[in-house]
Amino acid sequence: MTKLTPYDRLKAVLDGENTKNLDRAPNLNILMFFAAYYINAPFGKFCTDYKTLVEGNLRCVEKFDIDVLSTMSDPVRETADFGTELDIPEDELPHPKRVLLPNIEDVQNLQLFDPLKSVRILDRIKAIELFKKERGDEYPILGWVEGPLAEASDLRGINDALIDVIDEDNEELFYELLEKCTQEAIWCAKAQVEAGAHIIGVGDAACSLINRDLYREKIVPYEKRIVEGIKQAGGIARLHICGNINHILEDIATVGFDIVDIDWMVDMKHAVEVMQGTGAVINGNIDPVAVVLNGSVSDVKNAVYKCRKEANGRAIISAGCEIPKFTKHENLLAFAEALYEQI
Amino acid sequence: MTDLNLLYEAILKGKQKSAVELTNAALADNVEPKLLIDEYMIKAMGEVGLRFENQEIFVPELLMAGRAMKASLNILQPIMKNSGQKTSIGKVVIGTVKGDLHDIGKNLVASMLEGCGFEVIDIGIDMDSEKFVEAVREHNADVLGLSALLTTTMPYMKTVIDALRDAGLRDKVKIVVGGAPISAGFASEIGADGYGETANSAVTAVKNLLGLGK
Repeated sequence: MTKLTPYDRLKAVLDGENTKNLDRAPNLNILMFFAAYYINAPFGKFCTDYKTLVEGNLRCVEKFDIDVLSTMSDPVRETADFGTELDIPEDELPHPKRVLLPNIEDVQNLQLFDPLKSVRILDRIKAIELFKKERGDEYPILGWVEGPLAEASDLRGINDALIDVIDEDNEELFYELLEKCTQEAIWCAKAQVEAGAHIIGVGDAACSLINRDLYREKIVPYEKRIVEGIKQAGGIARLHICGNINHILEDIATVGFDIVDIDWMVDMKHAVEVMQGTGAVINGNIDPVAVVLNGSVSDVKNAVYKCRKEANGRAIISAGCEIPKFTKHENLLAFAEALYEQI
Repeated sequence: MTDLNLLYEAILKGKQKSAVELTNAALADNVEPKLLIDEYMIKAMGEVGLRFENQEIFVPELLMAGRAMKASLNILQPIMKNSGQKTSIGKVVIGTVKGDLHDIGKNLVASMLEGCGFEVIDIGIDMDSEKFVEAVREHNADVLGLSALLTTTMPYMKTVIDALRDAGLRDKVKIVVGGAPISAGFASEIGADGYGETANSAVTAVKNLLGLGK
């Protein structure tokens, strides 16, 4: 079968082609710590220097047959540009020194920022431009924004944000926070598409922790607006929520995402069925720790075969979340091989 | 007389203001604090734990219930202390290990432990082994809870256990570990005494290790 370029392979799947009719299913494995470690770069540098991020990703996609050039690094790019002071350790995840909005009333002073005049989102935009210069449209380029609840959690602290989402006493202020996070996400997404990103990922991890009614009533309307913004700009919208989202899959299906990532604890077969007819393609869902990190080559291959069978040619096959830093290279190579093999 | 079942309901539903009002009203009626805690508040948190385990409620509801419970305990515990009564069934130091900034899992376990009558000393996230050793020594903890979400930080749990051994404290404290990448096999490999896959099972592990059963 003709070997497709990564961009054409993904495009075919998004246009509704069954992966059984292609050379293989796309592989959108998420590389962050792994990519930095692979090129022997400190993770702090990977997060703050777009050239390092681009080099790590370019070298990994070629070696491990991955189909996306990603700008993912850490969840606090917007958070920093909103004004949060970060601690950026040499080889650990950047994180706020203290939350920007310790009281929900502080949201009234929160100002939106222009992504083209920012620091950390601008660094991501430069990564996109460099990917584009290096590889044109051979690979899909993945930009990224934080979803409304994820960004609210980064600005308020996860505990307080998860109380805000249900606490009726401060509902109006929490909606104001979601509104500002949404407007900023749309602004950042458009700037990234204009810079050359084909896909915009929306990370909204905290949504796996809330009940279905809260997700549908309080979060879905904002996610819908971000998706509309991405699509109006000409981008493909991808959702990533870490953790178990079995309970909100039906609502996710209504948002309009083109790609929906599912983590290892989600039922692949069910997820594919739920998305049927909505235009969304499922992406997942091998266990990144038990299988990809700690498993053997044959464990990885068997998990990929199982996933492919469950998806029946209607999903992108990747690990459910980030490829762990110390994953053995042979396991990640086996992952790619298992996508080509007959099952 | 205050209807004490309303206190149970207030905690179950995470209504902090009502829980405080009902606690104060019950005290005004001369109800014993221990009765309020044992017969209504702990039972409410037990039900919260069950509903969470069954995915009938999620993290926000659990946090709200924990907040309501804590607000009532803050009223009752000083009264019990002043009259020489025991205010907890055991002391647990808990924290997320060095390099790991995730605290939601730890917070849920802490909240559930408090809800079940334990005194919990939460030392926070990104904690090195010296901090854990210091906290166990200072608080004379019965149990140490170690949390990690990242595969890169979970090996640090063993560093903490080794540090406790070096400090001569290992035999004086039970150690329970938990977090998304942690398994029972890993817990046993690094020499922990127990493992909690969920917030509820972590509480069960702590109770079993202290011989408190169900």
